[in-house]
Amino acid sequence: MGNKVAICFVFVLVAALSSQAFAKSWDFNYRNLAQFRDGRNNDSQIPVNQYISVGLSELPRNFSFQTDFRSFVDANNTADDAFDLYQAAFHIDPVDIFSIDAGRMWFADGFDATLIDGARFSLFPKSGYLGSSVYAGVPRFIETGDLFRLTEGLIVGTNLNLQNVKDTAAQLSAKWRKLDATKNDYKENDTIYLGLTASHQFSNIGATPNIYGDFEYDLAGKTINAGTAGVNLYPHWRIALTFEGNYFDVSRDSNETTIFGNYFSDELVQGRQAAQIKLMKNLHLLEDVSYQHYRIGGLGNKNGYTAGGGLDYYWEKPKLSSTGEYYYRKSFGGNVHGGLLELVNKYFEKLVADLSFDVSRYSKITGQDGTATSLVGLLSYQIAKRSFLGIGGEYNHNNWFDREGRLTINFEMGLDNTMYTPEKRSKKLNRRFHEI
Amino acid sequence: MARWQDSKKNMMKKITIIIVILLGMAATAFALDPDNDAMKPDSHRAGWATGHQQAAKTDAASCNGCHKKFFCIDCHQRRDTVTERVHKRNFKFYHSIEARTNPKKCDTCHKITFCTDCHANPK
Repeated sequence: MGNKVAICFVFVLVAALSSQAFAKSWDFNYRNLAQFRDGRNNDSQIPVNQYISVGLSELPRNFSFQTDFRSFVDANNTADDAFDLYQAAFHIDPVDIFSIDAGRMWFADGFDATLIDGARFSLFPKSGYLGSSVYAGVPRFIETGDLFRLTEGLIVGTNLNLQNVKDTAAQLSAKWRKLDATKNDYKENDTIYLGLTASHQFSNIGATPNIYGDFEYDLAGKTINAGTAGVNLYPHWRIALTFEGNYFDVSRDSNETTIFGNYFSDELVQGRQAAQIKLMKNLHLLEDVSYQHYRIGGLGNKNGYTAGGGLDYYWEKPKLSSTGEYYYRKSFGGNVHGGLLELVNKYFEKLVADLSFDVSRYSKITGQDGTATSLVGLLSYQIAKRSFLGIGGEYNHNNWFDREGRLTINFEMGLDNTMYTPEKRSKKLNRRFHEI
Repeated sequence: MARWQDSKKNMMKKITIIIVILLGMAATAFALDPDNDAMKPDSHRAGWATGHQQAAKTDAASCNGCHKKFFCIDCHQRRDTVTERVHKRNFKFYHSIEARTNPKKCDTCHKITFCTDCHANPK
């Protein structure tokens, strides 16, 4: 982290903390998440992550501010990024129907959901059927860069939302994206996306069917980027079913490289079905399967399959949530069968124990066949209302990469001036949170 | 022959009784549990983790009713490797298989440099 950036964020943090004096509602959270790893070549690592979150609301003029960031150190690997800014955004409502959001914020524009450095102006009248927003900014991906690197271009867009229509939601979106500035770059660096997404539930009573759909078009690349049609069905209150069909493609003329465009030379068509069935009290059956059909340059048409299913049971007396799941994936890259067991115990009011055991048996086209096993556990104790101390361990084994052990320490400290006290929930309500 | 048929009949009788008892137990469990899972929206039940993006695109305001924005960031953007979140530890060993079923899913959170950086310099 450069000195200027460090000074800048210490200043922002001090300003945010000191402005708590003016905020009717505020919260502060500090988390230290550290781990000691002993890897396959005795290359031990000690990553230490420090998360800080500051939220201010009910400031004068309906102003609120939220920031979340991480600083990271690893004594054995100084090359990694040492600072991630997730949010530093303010929201203001000068009048009831108009709002401004600006800064670094989580942003869903109707096409993608990502971090953005920018501003959005929203106008949503209380009456009437339409609300709208306009925005501009630079998309950010934490994994690709630091604070000032401009690798993702500039986006400018607008959304038109349907509102005040019972049980129906819809959004019409348009976005222009400028990736780079060179001559005659209409197809390579400029893209205009048009999108329509909508959903309708047949009544506002729970468990009535819901249909939804999505359509996204790349005007410069003349390509349908995405198409989705799906339905949620509830034939009985115990049974929830989802059926969905998808179409995906991407323009190969664009300079924006995607993982999809890199793997596939043509469109992808997918069908997906999922279910959750409550078999009896505290016992659920879970299932999710999908089928993909696509084309690979040089290999022709190929299919992909994913399947997962299992049982989820809550043991009331020991307050133990347990999930057992089988999963399967198959593509032109190979196949994998796996079993996953997850346990969460909250027998003692302030002590939470998590344990998961995962076994995967895979066979790849590269000839790297093998079995991977992973045992992960964490014991967390609630010290105060929003403060926790946790210690955990991991043992991961793979016949190709050998073995690895990890020891994890988690410390969290939360402060706020709100009256929210989760421990004051009724026992019935707590039980239901366990159960669902 | 007659003995074999008797034994087959007995077997069928036992299987029928077992099936009837199991169905009875299932029906009793079904009937004695009127407890609806009312705390969770119906939409969040079947395959929600995989398919929630559609609802988030159409009506993000409804997500904000219960979730803070960091709830989304925590899975989509937070990148510390200390805790497991979306992917389990074993995923590292078979991600090439799953990525080839639908790489559009990878694009949701990762840029292609995430793949190329690691494959060029494996950790």
